[in-house]
Amino acid sequence: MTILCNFKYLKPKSLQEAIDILAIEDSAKNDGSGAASKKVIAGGQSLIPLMKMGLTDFDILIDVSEIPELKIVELKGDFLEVGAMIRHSELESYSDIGLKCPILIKVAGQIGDPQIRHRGTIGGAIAHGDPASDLAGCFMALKATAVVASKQGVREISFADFYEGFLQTTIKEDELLVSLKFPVNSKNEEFYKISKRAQDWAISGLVVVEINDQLSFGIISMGSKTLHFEIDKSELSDNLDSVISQIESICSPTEDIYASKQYRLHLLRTFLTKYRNSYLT
Amino acid sequence: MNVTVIINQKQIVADVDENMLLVDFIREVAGLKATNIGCDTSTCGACTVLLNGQSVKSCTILAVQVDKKDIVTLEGVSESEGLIHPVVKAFSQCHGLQCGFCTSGMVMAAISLLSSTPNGKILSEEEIRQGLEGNLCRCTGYNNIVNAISVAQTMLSLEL
Amino acid sequence: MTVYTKSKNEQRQVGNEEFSRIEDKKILTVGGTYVADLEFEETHFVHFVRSYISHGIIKSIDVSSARDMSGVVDVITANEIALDPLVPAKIVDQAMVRELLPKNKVRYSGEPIVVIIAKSKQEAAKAAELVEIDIEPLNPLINIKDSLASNELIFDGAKSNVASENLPTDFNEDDFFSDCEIVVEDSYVIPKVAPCPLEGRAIIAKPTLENLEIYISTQAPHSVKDTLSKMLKIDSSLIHVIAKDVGGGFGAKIGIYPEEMLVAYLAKKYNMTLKWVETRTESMLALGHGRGQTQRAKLGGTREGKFTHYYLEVLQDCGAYPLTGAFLPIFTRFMTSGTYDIKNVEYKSRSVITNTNPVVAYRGAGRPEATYAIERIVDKFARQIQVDPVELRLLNFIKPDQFPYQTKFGAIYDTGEYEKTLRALIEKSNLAELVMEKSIYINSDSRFRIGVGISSYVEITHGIPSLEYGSAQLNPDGNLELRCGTFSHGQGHLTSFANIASEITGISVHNIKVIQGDTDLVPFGVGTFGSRSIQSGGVAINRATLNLVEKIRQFLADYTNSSLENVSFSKLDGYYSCGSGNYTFNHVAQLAYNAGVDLKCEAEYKADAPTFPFGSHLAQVKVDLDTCQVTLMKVVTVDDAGNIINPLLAMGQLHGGIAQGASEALFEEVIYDSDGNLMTSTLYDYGFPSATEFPRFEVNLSETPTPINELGAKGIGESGTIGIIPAVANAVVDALSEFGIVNIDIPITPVKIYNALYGNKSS
Repeated sequence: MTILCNFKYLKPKSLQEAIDILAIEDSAKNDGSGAASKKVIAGGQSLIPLMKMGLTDFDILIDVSEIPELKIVELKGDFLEVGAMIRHSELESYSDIGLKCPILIKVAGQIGDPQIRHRGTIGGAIAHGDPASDLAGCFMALKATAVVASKQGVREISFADFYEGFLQTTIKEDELLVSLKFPVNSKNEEFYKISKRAQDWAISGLVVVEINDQLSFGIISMGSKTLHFEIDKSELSDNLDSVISQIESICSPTEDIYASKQYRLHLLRTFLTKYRNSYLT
Repeated sequence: MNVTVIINQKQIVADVDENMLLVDFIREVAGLKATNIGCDTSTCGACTVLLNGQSVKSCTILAVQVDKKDIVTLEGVSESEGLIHPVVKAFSQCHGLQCGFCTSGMVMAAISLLSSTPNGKILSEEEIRQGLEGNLCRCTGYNNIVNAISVAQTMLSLEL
Repeated sequence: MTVYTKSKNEQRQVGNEEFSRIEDKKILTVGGTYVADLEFEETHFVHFVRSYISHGIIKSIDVSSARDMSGVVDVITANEIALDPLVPAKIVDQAMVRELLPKNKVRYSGEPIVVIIAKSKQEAAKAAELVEIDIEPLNPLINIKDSLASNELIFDGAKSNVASENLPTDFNEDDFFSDCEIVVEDSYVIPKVAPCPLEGRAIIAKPTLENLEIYISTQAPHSVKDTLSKMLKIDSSLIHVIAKDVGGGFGAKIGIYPEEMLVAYLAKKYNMTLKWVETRTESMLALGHGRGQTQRAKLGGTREGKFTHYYLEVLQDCGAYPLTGAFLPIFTRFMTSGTYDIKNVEYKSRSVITNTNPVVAYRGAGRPEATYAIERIVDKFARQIQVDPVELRLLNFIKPDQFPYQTKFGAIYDTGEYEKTLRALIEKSNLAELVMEKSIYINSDSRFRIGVGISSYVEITHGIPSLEYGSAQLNPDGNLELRCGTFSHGQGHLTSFANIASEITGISVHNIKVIQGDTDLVPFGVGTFGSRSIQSGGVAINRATLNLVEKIRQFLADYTNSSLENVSFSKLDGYYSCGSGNYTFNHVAQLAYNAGVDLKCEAEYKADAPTFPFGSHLAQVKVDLDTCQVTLMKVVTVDDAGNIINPLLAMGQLHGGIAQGASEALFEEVIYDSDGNLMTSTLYDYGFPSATEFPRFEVNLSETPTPINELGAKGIGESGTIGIIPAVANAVVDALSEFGIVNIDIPITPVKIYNALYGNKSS
């Protein structure tokens, strides 16, 4: 299957160069008509399949893989900042991540297959906006902040406000996702995922972390976007059923060839029960 | 757009369309046909090659993305007599292939798996199977592929 | 006739170099040569525009803007195709003809409607986006039930939507079972599956000054030649079919499809080299699907467990055109009663047209369906009378002294040791321990359950015996060259056929060249399908090689002016002796060359009857009562396909077959929505498992030679698939029987287990 869409390919070498390209509004289309549409490519593991299927079309492709500012991993006090261009398979090579946030490595280790993990990036996975994204669930649970940059400067988006809907984020057209920042004071982290085959997206998934006696949940594949829920730790241990029904009320799982709505909800209940049984009793 | 790709240690310079996939570059520009295309959705892994030493699906990478990068295909680990990779030998010994269509991708995935395993660690059968989650084979039921990788692992550990 | 003698056991060990494949060296260095790899000058590319509607009337087709696109040579619709429509087989309603491109009516989503020829793949694909086809939808008849119930005819002029049927005579179901003390009944669904060879369909048609060269991904090159000759109305000597490496077929590449016929036709018409390599999506849409039966099985017998009456009723989904789907129930019928000695057996089937991709043969073709029904209902019978399913099988097996055993429907089982393989299975699998393990789970507060399932099977291979070709030739360079009319597309015949010749001549397989897949080099042939190759082509090679050894004797006798009795051949020494002289094959080759003698023998062989491999499978599964996921923990098989030529390859066939069968039981299913859109159109959506989803398959070979051919060999390509499916299903039911679950239809997905365990109630 070949890609039919034609585009110009640019590979900026710095963050400044990238945001300059994103800022140019009327850079001409190939045929000289109108404003050019742009797309950012990092690892391309979600974007290229869409291009092959003809589901996306643009004039300029901006490859951000050689921007050093997107490859930082830095521990800043109680926060860890991980660059958007860090590939899934690279996460475990950073001892800071391993020590401070092992759940991130665990989640990233279950994305797709080795080939995809060698290529896919955390920024790409996040910015793609698929509600089945394991990493989005993880950052959601971790209450991360997305750092985006544009000609106007740097802006931080709380993860709770990051997704608007299916494949839609609040990153503006002239903005570039630079990094993810998240607190590292969580504990009792757990990741649950059920998929058809090992390499597939989650039919249903849940990331749970405990931060200051609060449980924070990143809920995967249970609606048109990644969902977040937070509750007092004691509530889950004392009142499982009520927590389940509260969480269910924010979920709107789809019915597709992989699973029914009921089964997806059943899995979510199962994950919550398992978590309670493992960590709270 | 002009790209320079190093495939199997040979530098290939070509003017390619921006939308050309790496797998098409390998097959049509470099003329190396061992790498196959088995699906449209990055699922089957038949197109797996090494990019800077790591397995990737060459159907999910643009040729322009690998400008000045190192690619290794099956031809690069098997053609020259002295450099036949133990995985290649083991696939033949263990009957790890039937129709051969997935084989190139399977071998490259296995090489990446073994090379990313820390020295001294022996992968269990389960770990080998997990390492192959991105490659589909319709003929072998995977039995002998897993055997082959296990045998190759032993060969490699004896080489050390 | 010389009987095939097996070499000593130690030589037959896996790891013996004589068993490693000749094929591998090339595949493991530069890769196999598949059609997509072939490049010819001045090649143009073909692209098919397919129907987006499953059932409808074509109102208009506008190709004008597509035709104007750069690089486009032509855009072709039904009106420009001067080929006769495809007429169905005699047993099928004769109104069910297929036009290569539909003029008026489309019958499945994915049916090709327009052909584009362009200078590049991209240009052809871009032009396709500009083709405008207006189709007025008709009521989509997506499944058997709707199609049977509808008054609408998918083929105008047909009697109904039934393509063919097998009806029992004088059969009254109630009367039939009236004497039975126990009767159990159940319904089973065996959904359609996608064969998914990793290489899809592909063809290059290249007109030359002399003929039309066809490079194609097929299982039967000679039949491609014959079909094209008939379709294109050109003499078959003017068609040269070449099949190089083929990336799997599994039955779906036995026949040639309209797309391929059109490429050949248009290449000739435009006098242009044309290439078509289907995408995976096209392959999922329009490479034939397999299976597709809905069954009702009813088994009657005594309280002690002796089966006396069995009735199987089958509805077969043919898809939109009656291809092999119309015949699959005949194979199912043949194997209805399986391994059991049942006095009274009745069968009924109907093959029904639906608005889905046509059904073709897929690994097992009709036999897995028969095995599935009987092996599932036998387990149900065992539960009903509370008898161990193993004991029940042992009680009812056809006994060794009953062979040859003729079934109600005319199958004559050649040999069988059903008890032997089942007992071997019990021992190899440590069944007693597995049962114990199961009880440990039940008696703990574990959220897992273990289940063990058994299946005993018998199947028919080389079901319709046909003439096959083989030749053996000693070339002037001293190498032995074999040519065969079968066509290995992954099975490794280059090695196993060489094994046969090596067994006779003592020449190492690595010095034997096997030629196949080229209709100019092999005078005729039938191809590889239905587990027929070793027992047809292999026997022909065996005969040709034996004749060659004799021919050389005669040549040496003539050459040395001695009597034939004075010339002897020793395989062990590797030379002929004649008086005081010894002649190696190299020497003989040289002498014959100098003397102008051609040392070549050809053999044609047609078996008198099919053969019936058999065996037993065990599957152990673990079911997670919370996530409802099933893990296949263990598979043990004892398979008997008569004499085994190459154990390494035979086991490889079983591994692959078992994987496909286990996958049908747990993962695979072709799904259409109610409008007839294919929901499983990619390998992402379709449940094709990876190594992670399977355990190691423990395969054991048993060898009971068949008297049907001198190799003593039966077929082995499909038996793994045939036997394993019910074993896995039985295992899941066994795991969940404490919850009152007696049947879950395959594929047994987590959602189905969830529904069975928890239904609509909250867990």
